[in-house]
Amino acid sequence: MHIRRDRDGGVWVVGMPAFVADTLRQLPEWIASADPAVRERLLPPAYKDERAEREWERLAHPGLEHLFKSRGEILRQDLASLKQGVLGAMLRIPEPHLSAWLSALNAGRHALFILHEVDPGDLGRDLQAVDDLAHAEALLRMEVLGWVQQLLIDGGGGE
Amino acid sequence: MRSAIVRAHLMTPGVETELEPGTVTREGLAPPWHVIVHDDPITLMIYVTHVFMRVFGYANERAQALMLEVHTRGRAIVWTGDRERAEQYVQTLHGYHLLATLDPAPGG
Repeated sequence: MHIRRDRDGGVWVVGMPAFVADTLRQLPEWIASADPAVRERLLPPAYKDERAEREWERLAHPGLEHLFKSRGEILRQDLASLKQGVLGAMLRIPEPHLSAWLSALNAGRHALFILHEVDPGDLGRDLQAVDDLAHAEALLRMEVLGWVQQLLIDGGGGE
Repeated sequence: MRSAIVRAHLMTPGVETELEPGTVTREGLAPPWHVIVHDDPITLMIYVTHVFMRVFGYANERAQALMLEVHTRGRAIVWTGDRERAEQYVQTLHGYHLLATLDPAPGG
């Protein structure tokens, strides 16, 4: 799997194994999770002071919610064109969408971490040593999201 | 205490835009605020550096140094200035899913 830039500044993620493509397809669903713990992580507090924090939530959260919703729509739009090539799946991310993707990949890692109650000590652990299969799969998908994120940044996709 | 909380994100369909720090009307008069970023075990270090460069316009070296401070000390002051702009930065950082808070600067 690697990144190829196109003339318009967008990138192609090419040679994606099926599991990576499947993980990306599920990303919009994870970042839109209604799980209270996920929402709390995606909308963290800004102030220690309760009154200021309430004001913050009232005024800042709608803009963030709107941003996250738009981001999900951007991902769905790009994922609709995900296609299977000879050497794996291919996804084109237009240049204006790159920032949304990078943020969503991070959000997806957080959502999986919370939804699957991952122990921080399990991050980077040999997955074969993880007994619970669902847990191991969540860890692997988190790794995949981080891998794509790193490829996009290393490939200059976040500029 | 006037809350200067953030203007809404302006969204163009299919294009993600960021909050830009707005016009500052009280700069030099109000006490300064710190923007603090806290460590979390999930966010990749390369992404944190990327966000600092993108949001604050920091050079790679400075962004990396701040990222390492977050990672090793658990938090770092990444920007200090007037409250309105600090709030805009925190909202932008929350948009990138970094744990960011505001604190009044001591003696400010």
